[in-house]
Amino acid sequence: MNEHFLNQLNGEQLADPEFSKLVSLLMEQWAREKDHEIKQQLLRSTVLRYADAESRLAEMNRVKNRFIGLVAHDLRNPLVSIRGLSEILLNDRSDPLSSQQRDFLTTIYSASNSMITLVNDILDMAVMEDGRLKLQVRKDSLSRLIRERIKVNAILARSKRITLDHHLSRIPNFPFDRNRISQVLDNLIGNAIKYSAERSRISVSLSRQNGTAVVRVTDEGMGIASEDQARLFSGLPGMSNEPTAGEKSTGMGLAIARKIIEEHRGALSVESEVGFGSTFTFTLPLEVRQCRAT
Amino acid sequence: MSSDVRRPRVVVADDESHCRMLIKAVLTSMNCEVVGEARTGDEAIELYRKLKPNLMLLDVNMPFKNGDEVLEELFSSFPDAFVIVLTSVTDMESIERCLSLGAANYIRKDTPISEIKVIIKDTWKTFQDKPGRVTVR
Repeated sequence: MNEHFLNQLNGEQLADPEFSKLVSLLMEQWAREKDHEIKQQLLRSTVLRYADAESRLAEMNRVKNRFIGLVAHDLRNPLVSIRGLSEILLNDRSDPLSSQQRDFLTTIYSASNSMITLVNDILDMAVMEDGRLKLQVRKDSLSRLIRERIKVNAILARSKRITLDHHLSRIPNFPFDRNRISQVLDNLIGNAIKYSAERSRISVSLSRQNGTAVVRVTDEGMGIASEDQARLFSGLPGMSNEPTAGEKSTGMGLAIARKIIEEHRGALSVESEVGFGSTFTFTLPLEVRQCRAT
Repeated sequence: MSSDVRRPRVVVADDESHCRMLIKAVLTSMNCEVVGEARTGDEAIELYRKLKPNLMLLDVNMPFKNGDEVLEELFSSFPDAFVIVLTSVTDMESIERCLSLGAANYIRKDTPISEIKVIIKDTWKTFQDKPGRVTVR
């Protein structure tokens, strides 16, 4: 059995070149060694070395994520103030701004807003990689939440003259994490707006299929190439599409959204074709015992 | 505006001056009067004692004394105090602890201004029943 295991390891494409080298060495020693007990010792010491390395790596990863969390947290507060104070100046009618002042403040607002999104995404990724994402699940109305997030995102949609409509079936209140599902909705609706042209339409629907709530966000945007769809939820930047009005995108939002949905024991998927828009669908179980809740 | 309408008097407690500046500007735009600013939990309690504001906005993560301790001390002396806590993170356990100690609601600091105003107004509506109208715009 041990030999079979080692043969399997030797045959596999191991991602870690150092471990790959180690396995090859082990296989050579194994082939040369006739004594059964020494063979067992060889195997035991190799596995122990690898387990120790893995444990140290996991600890370094945890320390890294906590450090990222701390730094991002200290970056975020000043950025929030920069964004907020520039917004207040932009909206202050008692002291009119010159057109240059307005342009500068608009840029400050927009840049700080993008940075806050980036910092929040980095924080979320660090929390999720560390396994520290904890859902705060309460019975709530998903249709009411969807209406609220549509209202909030309507301001952005209006700036591009995009119609944002909804078709929401009646489903009973059920347990989910309101803040996190709000985050998912903002990400999907926000992306639909970013990647859609002016005067197009975005539709959000809610339906029930057996014991599951199904939410779909459909746009008439540029669509997503099939080679990009595979990387869509990876959290990495570098997709082919660019937002239509130069908006910013961190590339992490969908990875975070998928993780949130999966923590609810739901699923997030996409159907898309270049030139024909996209539909993002997520499901949430209506029963609490199915959800990885705290 | 009729003569018996008063502006809500508010104390803002946050150790970061730029946070206090922003919250003060938001409150002023809502017809509130910021009557005091505190940088620590002890200052917040002292200002509350001195000024008896209609509302306190309290950062839960200030140096020397954390939000729980401030709330416990505040509500032991002033059980009718109206406090909304300010938080940098959505740590629901610590938020729920603050709410169970008597805070009326919470606002995450990176919430957009328009939503901050809605939270304050809605929380105010459900909390307020004092004689004489005190209007939050």
